[in-house]
Amino acid sequence: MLGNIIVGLVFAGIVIFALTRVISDAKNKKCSCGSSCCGKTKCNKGV
Amino acid sequence: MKIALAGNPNCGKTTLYNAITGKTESVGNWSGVTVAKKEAHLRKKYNSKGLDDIKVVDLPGAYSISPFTSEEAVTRSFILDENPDVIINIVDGANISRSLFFTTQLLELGIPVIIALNKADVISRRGDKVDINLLSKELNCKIVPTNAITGEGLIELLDDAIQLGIEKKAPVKPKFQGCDSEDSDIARQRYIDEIIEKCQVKTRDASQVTLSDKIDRIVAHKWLGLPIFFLIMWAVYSISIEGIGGYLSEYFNETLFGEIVPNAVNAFLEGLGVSPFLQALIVDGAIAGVGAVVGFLPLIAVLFFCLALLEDCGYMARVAVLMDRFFKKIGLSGKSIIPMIVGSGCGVPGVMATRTIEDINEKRMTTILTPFVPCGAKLPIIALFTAVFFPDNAWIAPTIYIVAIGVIVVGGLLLKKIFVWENTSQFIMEIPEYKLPSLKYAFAQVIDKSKGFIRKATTIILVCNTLVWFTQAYGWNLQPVEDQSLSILASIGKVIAPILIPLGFVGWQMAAASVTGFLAKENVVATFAVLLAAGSEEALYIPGGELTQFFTPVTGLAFLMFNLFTPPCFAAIGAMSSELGSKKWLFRALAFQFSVGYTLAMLVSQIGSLIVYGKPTTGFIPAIIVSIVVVLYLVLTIKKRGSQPSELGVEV
Repeated sequence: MLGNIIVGLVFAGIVIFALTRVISDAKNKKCSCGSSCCGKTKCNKGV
Repeated sequence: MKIALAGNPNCGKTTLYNAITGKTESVGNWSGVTVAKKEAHLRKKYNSKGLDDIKVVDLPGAYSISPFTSEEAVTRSFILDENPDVIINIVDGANISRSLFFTTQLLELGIPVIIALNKADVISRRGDKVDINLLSKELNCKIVPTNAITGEGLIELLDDAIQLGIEKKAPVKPKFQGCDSEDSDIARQRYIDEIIEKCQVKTRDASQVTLSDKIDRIVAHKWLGLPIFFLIMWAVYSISIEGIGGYLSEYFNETLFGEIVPNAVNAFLEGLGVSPFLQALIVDGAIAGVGAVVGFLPLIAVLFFCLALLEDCGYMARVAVLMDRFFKKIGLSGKSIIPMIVGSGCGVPGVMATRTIEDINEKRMTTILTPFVPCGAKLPIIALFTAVFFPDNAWIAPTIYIVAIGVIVVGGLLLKKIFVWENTSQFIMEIPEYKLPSLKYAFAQVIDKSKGFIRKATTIILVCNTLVWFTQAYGWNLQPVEDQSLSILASIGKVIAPILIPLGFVGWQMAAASVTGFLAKENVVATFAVLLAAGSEEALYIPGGELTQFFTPVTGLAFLMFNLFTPPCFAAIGAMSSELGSKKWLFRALAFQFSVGYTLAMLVSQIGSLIVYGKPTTGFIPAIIVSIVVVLYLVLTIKKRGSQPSELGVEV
């Protein structure tokens, strides 16, 4: 039971962390494909 | 303090930026690699005065302060609106005369300027001499010779730049005859030419045929050039998919993520007494999905290594010139090839690179066609389907890239006919000299792309496939299901599946994989890995493996085409939306891409089955109906557009 709780919490933490990164990337229009993909909000002002 | 790096395209701004900030932004041996400004803090090593918060801004290349393309507009608006404390003007040692046009304009703005005479090695290699002291005196501006690749002169450059930023001393404006006249640009160039005549001694005979010229006579030859390009690209993809990349991927997929990792995690979780549900969610969901994608990392690494070498030696710039002649016929120009080559890494920077194109029609057309180039994310799909269905035909995977070029050409012709576009732009490109490619640069590219690939696998792929596992194991009543076809995922897939019937794809699994593929293309592979992991212990990519229960080799090839040529992932669609500038054009672009991918997959599936198996595959009648609709639409639209070209001219 304790094993389930610990493993479940760790896995849920990893998935939630990954989800926040996905949402953050989506908001910043990043594709996570390396440095060539930069955040539009940062670099496209005035275009 | 804010230090701006400004200069002509391909003068080495981003290389210098990476050196002084420690970043690894994309650089390339051609113009137009940087299309947006980038900011980072100066490395301590170069901050001799120990000032806090020194930011360095890398700006897109510009030939003049008057913008011609949208990325030049970024440079202009930054310099004029954001008032940097000092500008480091990078002057290309290989083209001093042309670079100084922009320099003299910068000196008129009242912002402190220091000149970095970059590529000093090129000047000495050519045997040319530049009197830096005299040039500095003529321009009333400090000049530091630098080599951004080796780091030579950078400490001195930054010392002087920071000092100038502290003093905020405005430069002396250059004075030349005719500076206020209407022909001020001509007068300015004349002034620069006079300075160059005094300060530069050229020993090279321009009429002499160099080794670079001799190589160009072959690789950029109007008839030989194209077959050579195809051969080189075919070799690159062969090495990546079938060679060392494929060999390492086989180990990653079969042994590392097929046995070692799942067995170790299973043993660990069993030891902790974790429930079978949680164990399956982690091993069959998260690890199977992420592992199926990460397993293809060696392939991606080898591909980008080879492409980086080709680009760094100067060959890719020749390809742009070579393709110009052919692209002109479909309303594009050589400029369009740059976004497409960048797009072979990732569609997002590829689409963003269309900013270097000033003609609005050509830019839109390139934005629509660039996602047809198979990006790194599509590589795992190509590798998986060719390994399962064509294990003995090593030529199929690299040929897919040649097919992509064919799709771009046909797609371009169709776009031109449908929207009656005329290309008015002229293509002028500066060809860099050939050089030995840098292994350091190639490895840096590989590390950068690999980091991005792993990041994607551990974020969006992990989240998606955890969700995919849950939805394929549970029903709407949130109870586990014995039969996958009763699951949540199956019920969603069944709604979309009928659309795929004319393509010969029968089954909700294909629909589910295609839908997750729109979130990230790697998800196609990962979704199959999760769906099939539940029913089989066999590695996904084994030749003649589990995937054959869904596809014949021909329909497998058609499914590959469908996923390669239908609209790209959401991130790339977002970039398309920005570059196309309107929802109307985005909708048109997506409709066009979907129609191309759908029609191509349908033709491959039905005609291919007819030829190979002697009978069409499932959905032949719906396929005929769809074909008639497509042909009628094309004929009527082209006829209508042809009769009213003036009314349909695109808005600028």
